[in-house]
Amino acid sequence: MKRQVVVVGAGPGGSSAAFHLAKKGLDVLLIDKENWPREKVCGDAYQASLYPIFKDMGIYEEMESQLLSTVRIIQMVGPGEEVADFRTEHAEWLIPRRIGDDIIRRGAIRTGVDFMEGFEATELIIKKGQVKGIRGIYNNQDMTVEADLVIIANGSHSLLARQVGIFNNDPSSYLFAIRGYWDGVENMVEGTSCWIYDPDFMPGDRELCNKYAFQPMWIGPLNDEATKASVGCCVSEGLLRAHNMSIDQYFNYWLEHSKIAKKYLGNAHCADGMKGWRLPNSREILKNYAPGCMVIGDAASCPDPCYYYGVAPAMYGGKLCADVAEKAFRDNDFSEEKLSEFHVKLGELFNPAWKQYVSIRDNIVGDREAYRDLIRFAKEKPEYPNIDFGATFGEYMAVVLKKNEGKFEYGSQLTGNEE
Amino acid sequence: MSMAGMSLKVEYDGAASDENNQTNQAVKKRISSIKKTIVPQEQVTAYINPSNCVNCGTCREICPTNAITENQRIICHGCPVCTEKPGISPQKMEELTTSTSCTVECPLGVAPQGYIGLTRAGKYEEAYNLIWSKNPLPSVCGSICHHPCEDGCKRGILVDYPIDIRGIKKYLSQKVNVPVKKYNVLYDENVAVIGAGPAGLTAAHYLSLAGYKVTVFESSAEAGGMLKRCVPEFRLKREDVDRDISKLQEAGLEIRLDYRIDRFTLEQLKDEYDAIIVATGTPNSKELKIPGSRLAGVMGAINFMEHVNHGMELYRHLGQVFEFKNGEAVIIGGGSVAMDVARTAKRIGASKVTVVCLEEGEAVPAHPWELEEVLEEGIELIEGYSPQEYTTDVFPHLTGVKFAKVKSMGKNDEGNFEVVIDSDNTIEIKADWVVVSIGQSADAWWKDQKDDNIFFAGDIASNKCSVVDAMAIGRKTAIEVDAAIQGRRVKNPMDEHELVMADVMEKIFPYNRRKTVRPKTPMLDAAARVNNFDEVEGTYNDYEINQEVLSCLRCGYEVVDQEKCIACGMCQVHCPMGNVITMVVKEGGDE
Repeated sequence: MKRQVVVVGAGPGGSSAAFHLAKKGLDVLLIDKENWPREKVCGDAYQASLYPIFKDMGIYEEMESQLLSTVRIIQMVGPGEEVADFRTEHAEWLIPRRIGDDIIRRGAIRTGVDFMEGFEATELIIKKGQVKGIRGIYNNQDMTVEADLVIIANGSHSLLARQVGIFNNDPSSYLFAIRGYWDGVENMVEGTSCWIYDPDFMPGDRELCNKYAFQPMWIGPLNDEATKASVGCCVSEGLLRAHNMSIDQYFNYWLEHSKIAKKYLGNAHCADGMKGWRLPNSREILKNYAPGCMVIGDAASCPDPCYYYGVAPAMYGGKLCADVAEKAFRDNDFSEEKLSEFHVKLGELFNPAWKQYVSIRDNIVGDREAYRDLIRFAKEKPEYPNIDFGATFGEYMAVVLKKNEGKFEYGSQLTGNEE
Repeated sequence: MSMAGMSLKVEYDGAASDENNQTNQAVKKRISSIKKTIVPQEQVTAYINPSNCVNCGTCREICPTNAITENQRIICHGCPVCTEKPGISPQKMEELTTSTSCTVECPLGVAPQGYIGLTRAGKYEEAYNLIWSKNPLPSVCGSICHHPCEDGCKRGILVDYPIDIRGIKKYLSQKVNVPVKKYNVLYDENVAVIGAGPAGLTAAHYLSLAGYKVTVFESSAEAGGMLKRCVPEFRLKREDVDRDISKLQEAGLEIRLDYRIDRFTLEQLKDEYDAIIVATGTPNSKELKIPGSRLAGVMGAINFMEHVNHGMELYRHLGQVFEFKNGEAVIIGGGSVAMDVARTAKRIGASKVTVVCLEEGEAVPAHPWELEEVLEEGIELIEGYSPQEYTTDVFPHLTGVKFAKVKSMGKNDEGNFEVVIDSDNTIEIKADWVVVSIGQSADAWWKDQKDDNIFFAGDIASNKCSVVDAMAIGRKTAIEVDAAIQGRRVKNPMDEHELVMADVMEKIFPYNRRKTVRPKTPMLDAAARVNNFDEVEGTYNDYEINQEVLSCLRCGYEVVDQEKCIACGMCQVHCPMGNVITMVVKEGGDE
C-alpha cells in the first residue's frame, strides 16, 4: 500500500494531524492498534485552549453535549494544606477520554481520512536514513504501508519514535500517574477541581522536592453534584526511587496521611481500581522530527512540565505539522532540515509558557514560604480573566516570583503590580 | 573456529589465548580493510546493535580483552498500565534487573535468550549449536531439566508467565539434525572419564572442546547412566538419550562400554592418563534401617527402576525373590525419584499406589508440577509420616508398613539428621511391595582414592541430584582439570558474568510487547497415560514455537566498552546472528 502520509495513532494528536493534513488535500491514512472507541487512562480534562481547534473541526457542540462538568474554580492546596480558590472564566472540560477522543477521531474521519483500526505499527521502514513507511500487524498478518511522510502519534510508549532516537531520557521528567473513578465524594463545591501541590506532604526533604518537580494529586468532579470524581496523582520515578515505594504505595500513603484526602474522600471508594500510565513531559519542546517523519503528542514527550496537560500540545502539534507537511509536499523535500521547521513553530507556541512553568518547578515547589505567598496572593485577588488556566497561573507566578539580578525575590510584590 | 576459546575461557597468567588459522585470517583481512578504507585501527571499535542482538554471549566469551558486558533492560513497572500485578518500586526493579535473568540462572551457563532469539530469526542450526557448545545433552535437558532458567525469566516474575525455555530446547533438539563439529585435538595430554552419565559426558564434552583426547569408561552395556537406568520412559524417551550420545560420538568422543573400573584397572588408568575424572554417580539405593528390611517385597528405587526398564516382573536381589507387578504398592520418599517410581508403579499395573513422605506441604522436595501430575494420575500422597516397621504375616512375605506421625525433624545438636515422631499416632498401610526411595549412595571405595590426578564430578561430588546440576559439576570439574594440566589459574567464566543495567533509552514497556498467547505444552490426559509408557509431555509444533519465541521480552543485549576494545574483530567473526556487530569509528575519533 502506498500513501502520501500515514498517521500512526488515532488519539487527539493523531486525529488532529490527520484532519489538518486532509484539509490541505493530502492523501492520509490514519491507523490505530486499538478498536475504537478505546479506553484511555488519563485525568480526563480537555483544556480551554483547545476550543478553537474543536470549532475548526466542527465538533465543539458535540463535545459540549458530552461534558460531565465544567471546571471554573481550581482549588490549589499548598503547604500545610492551606487552600486558595483560583476562579477563572473557563478552565477545562471534564469528559471521559473514551468518549471525547472518539468524537475527535470521527471529526477527522469526516474530512475524508482513511482509518484502519486494529493495525499495530511495529516498526518504521528506514531506507538510507530516510523513513519510508511503516510495517505492522493487521488482522494477524504482516502489513506494510509505504508513505512519503510518517506522523508518529502513538503515545508515550512509542517504539517508532525511539527507533528514530526520539525519547526523553532525562530521569527528572520521567513520571508515572494513576487515576481511579471514585464514588461518594463529599464536601466538593460544584465546578471545582482540586489540585494538591503540598511540599509538606511529600515524603521527602526540600532538595528532593526541588529536584523532582511539581507532582500533584488531583480530584476532578465528574458530575454536577460533585459526588463522583476522578482522583489521581503523578509522581516521578526519581522520587519513588528515593523512597523505595511503588506508585500504589505512594498514593495510599497520601490517602492515609492527608487531611484533604480525609475531607473529600473520607467515605468515598474507588469503583474499579486505580489505573495507571506513563506521563512523559519535557522542559521545552524537544527534537520531534527525523528525515521523513514527525513526532507529535506524548510520543515526543509533549505534556507540559507543570500541569502535565498533554492534549493541547498534541492537538496543536497536529495542526502545525500539517502546515510543515504541506510545504514539504509542495517542494517534494522530506529532509531533516525541511521538517525542522515543525520543531521551531511548536517551540514558538509553547516554550515561553513552559519556561515560566519550569521556573515555578525550580523555585517554588520546595520553598514553602514562596508557596504561602502565592496562596495569600490568590486569596486577595480571586478573579482571573484569562481563559487558559495554565497560562494565567504562569503569569500569576511571574508576579510573585520577580526576577532580580539572577535571583528570584518574593514577598514584596504582593500588591500584584508588575513593574 | 576455535570451540575451545568459546566454551572454556580459562585465563592464562600472561599468556595469549588459543589461536586458529582460519579465524586469524578472517580477522587480518577485516582489519586490513578497515585500515585501508576508514581510519587507523586505534580509532575503530566494535559496535553491537542492541535491537538485533540476541544476547547469546558468544562475543562476550570470545572477547580477548573482556570489553563486552551484558546489559539488562529495565522493565517499566512503575504504573499499572504495563501489568496486572501490583507495581514494584523503581529501586527494587533496579535490584531485580541486575540480579536476575535467564542467562545467569542456568547452572551450565547456556544463554536461553540467545537460542530463543536465533529461533525467532529462523536460525535453527545456530540455535542448536549454541546449546550444544555448552550442553552436550540438549534432548535430555529438553525433556527432564528442572529449568532454573524459567525461574529467572522476567516475563514470569513481572508480567505473566515465563517463556517455556525447556519446551523450545526440546523442539530444537528434535527438529534440528545437523552434523556437529568434530572435536579438534590440540594437546598431547589425555583424560579418562569414568562413568557415561550426564556428569561424565559433560566433563568429557568440555574437555574435548578444549582440545584434549578424552576416553569415557562405562561399566554397563550402554551409555547414559541414570538417564537409561532410572529415569522412566514416559518422562524421557530412550531415543532422545541415544540421539544426544550419538552426536557426542559423531563429534569424536570415545566411549568404551562394558568396561568396569576397579582398584587394579584404576592403577592402569593412572599410568596411561594425565587426569582421571570420576563421575560414577550414586548407583545404590539407600536402605531404611528399620525392622524387616530384608523381607521379600522391599526394594530400592534404583533396583526397581532397573527391573522395570528391562521388562522384568520378578525381583531377584540378595535372597529376595518376588513378583512385583500387581497388588498394592507403597513408595517411601518425597523426592523426584519417588514420584517417578510411583508413576511407574501405576503404569506396570499396581492396583493402588501410595506415596508416604516425612515432609509436609511446601517442604516436600519434589517439584510442584511433579506433585500435580502424580495426583492427576490417581496416586495417593500421605505427608508427614515416618516409616517404623515392615510387617509380615507369613515370613518372609511383606504385608504392610507401619508409619508414625512426624512431630519435628531437622539437625540435632550433634549435626545429625533426626526425626522426632509421635508414637501414639501411627498408621499401617497394606502393601504387597514397597519401594524405598530415600536417596542414593556412591560406591564406598572411591572415598579412599585421593590423588592429584583424580577429580570427582557429578552426584558423587555433590548433594544436588538433578540432571542439570550434575552436568554443571561435570563442567566445573572439566575446567579444573584443564587448569591443572595447563597450570592455569582456575577461573570460571560464569562467576564473572555480571549484569549491568541498560540505559533508560532501552527501557521495556510490557504494554508494547506482545500479549502472551501461551500455547499450553501438549500433555497426555491422566486417563490416557496411566496405562502405558508413552511420553507424557509433548513437543510444540512450528506455529506454537513461533508464538512462544515471539513473546520473549528480550531483556538483555551485549555492549562493547570502547576503551577496552582493540578492534580485533573476533566478535564479528563469531556472532551467530551475523548482522549485529559492525566496526565503527570511536566517538570523538577523527572522521
